[in-house]
This record gives sequence, C-alpha cells and structure tokens, in this order.
Amino acid sequence: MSVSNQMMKGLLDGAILGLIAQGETYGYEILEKLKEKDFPEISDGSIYPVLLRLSRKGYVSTQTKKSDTGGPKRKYYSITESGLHELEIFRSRWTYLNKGMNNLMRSVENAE
Amino acid sequence: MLSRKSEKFLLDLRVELMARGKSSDDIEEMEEELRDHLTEAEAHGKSVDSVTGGSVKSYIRSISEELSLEPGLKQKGTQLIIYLFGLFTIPRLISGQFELSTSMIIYYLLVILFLGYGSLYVMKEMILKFGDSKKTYIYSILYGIIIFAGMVGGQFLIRAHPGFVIYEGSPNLNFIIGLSLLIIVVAVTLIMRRWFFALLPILLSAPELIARFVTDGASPTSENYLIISSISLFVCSIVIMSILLYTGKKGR
Repeated sequence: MSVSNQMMKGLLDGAILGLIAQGETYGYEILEKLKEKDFPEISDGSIYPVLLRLSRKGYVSTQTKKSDTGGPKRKYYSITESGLHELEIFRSRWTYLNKGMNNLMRSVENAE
Repeated sequence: MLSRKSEKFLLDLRVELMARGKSSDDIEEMEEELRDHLTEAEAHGKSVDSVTGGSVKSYIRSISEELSLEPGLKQKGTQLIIYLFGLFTIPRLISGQFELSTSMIIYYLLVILFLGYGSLYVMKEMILKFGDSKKTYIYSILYGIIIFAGMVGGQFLIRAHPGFVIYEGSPNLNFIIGLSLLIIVVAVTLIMRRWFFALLPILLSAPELIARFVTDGASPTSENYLIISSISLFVCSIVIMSILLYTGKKGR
C-alpha cells in the first residue's frame, strides 16, 4: 500500500467518525455527505470496511431499522462515548499534522 | 429489485466470506447493508462497480479483513480432523490389521487436504461460477466420486508400498486399542449430543466386530471372516445411506 493510500485510509476513519458524530446516519448517506464535502478518492464501497472497523472498536453503535423507502432493512450508525473521545484525539492530531504539513509543503514550494 | 450483476456480487461476497470461515451473523449483516446501499445506488443510476471500485475480489478481501471468524471454527475444525482420523483407524485397529507407516501418514494428510480443503474449494468455485444450478451439483458429485476412488486406490497403494513402518502391533493389542478408541469416540460424541457422529464409527466398526465374534476370532483374511464382514459392511452402508437420506429429507 502506497503512503498516500495509507494516509487516505487513516483520514477516512476520522472523516466518517466526524460525520456520524453529527447525528444518526446510514451507509449511503455517509457516502453522499463525504462527496458533498469533496472528500477525495472515495469509491462507494470503501466506507463499509471502515464502518465495520469503527463498530468493532466500539466507536460507533448500530441499529437496524426498516427502510423508509420500502427497500431492505437499513443499518443506522450512532457515535458512542469512546467514539467521541477518539474523534477528539483525531481532531487534535489532525490540527497539528495539518499545520506541520502545510509549513513543510510551503518550504518545499519555496525551494522549487 | 436489484440487477442481476448486483445479485451476483452479493452471492460472490457471501460464498467467499463463508469459505473464509467468517461469522455467519456478520456475513448476514454485511450483505443486508450492501443490499440496501445497492438498492439506493441503482435507484440513482449507479452500478455495482461504484461499490467495488471495479475489482470485486479486492473489495471482498478488504471487507473480509474486517470481519471476525465464526466462533469456535478452529476448535470445530480440529475436532473434525481428530474424528476423521478415528473413523479411518478404528475399524482397521479392530480388525487387527492396523499398522502406522510413512505412506499411511501421507495418505491421511492427502485425505485431509483433498476431502477437507479441496471439497470446500471446489464447492466455492462451482457456486461462484454456476450459482445454484445443476452443474454445481454434478461437478461437486464428480469431485466426490474422484476423491472416493482416490481413497480406495490409496488403500491399495499403502498396502503395496507401506514405506517405513512406525507402528505394528499384534492383532490382539490392535483390537484392544481400537475398541477403547471406539468407546472414547462414541462417549465423547454422545456427550456432545451428536447422535449421527456417535453412530457412524459404530456402524463402520460393526462389520469387523461381528465377523470377529461370529468366526470366534478367526484370521481377518479367512474366507468366513471376509464373507461375514462384507455382508455386515453392505448392511451397515445401507443403514448409513438411509439415515443420511432420511435426515436430508427431514432437513428440506
């Protein structure tokens, strides 16, 4: 896996956790919101392994309900206490990383 | 109603995850969730490729990595291997003709490989290729026949080329060990409430036991012993087949 792929994988976990923190939601809706926010390089199916991972770690809880469109049953995700704590850690790390990376990339641009 | 391509993808996903020993509850949940996603995606004019990103195999792998294994799968697998080893050895021990050789060990390893993993692989590939169709059943049965023929042929090969003999007990010692193992296997399977698994080693050992007692301990190669054990084996095979057919019908 390339460095950029690994980076995207880690960021997607944080991004999805951030979206679920805004209110109960389901797979397709999460994907639409990610696209709305211009989250890059995302294929529809890539969110499900992440959702499984977050659920297994106990960061999100799930509830299956009947779909309002009459389709198959739908699984809704909500954030848990440990999920909120993890999101806080992610946010602070992202802020530091973002600042550091921007400074670094600016210096790369200047060197060029 | 999902498109055929999406249904095929969900079937591939289910079969692949089952073959990898993933928890059936997790598979059920994942399939339901993807079904919901695909229903909505198709309603918006998208295809299954938008979910898989173009590669079904790599997508299934990424899902599989996040799913847990079926609880107790390794334990059940080990139990099954021990049980199969018992099924093969106990009747031979009771007949007094058992010997453990390098050829025999290789034979057992090949049986586990082709009967266990091989059958699973062939079934999976057939279902993925032909779905729930006649071809799947025909090819699976053909594979079963080939394996059975291989097992019978293997027995002849072992006798002709035993290799290095590790253990060769006297007929009486073999009989005592065989009978003890039979009692242990039956007792354990009865405790686990696996009635058929308890009955199977009894039925497979019965021809040797009956022949031994009726001929009053004659040599297993004598004419009387062979006739009685062959008739008993025939009767026991019919009983086993009848049980399998009856339970199969009941299950349906």
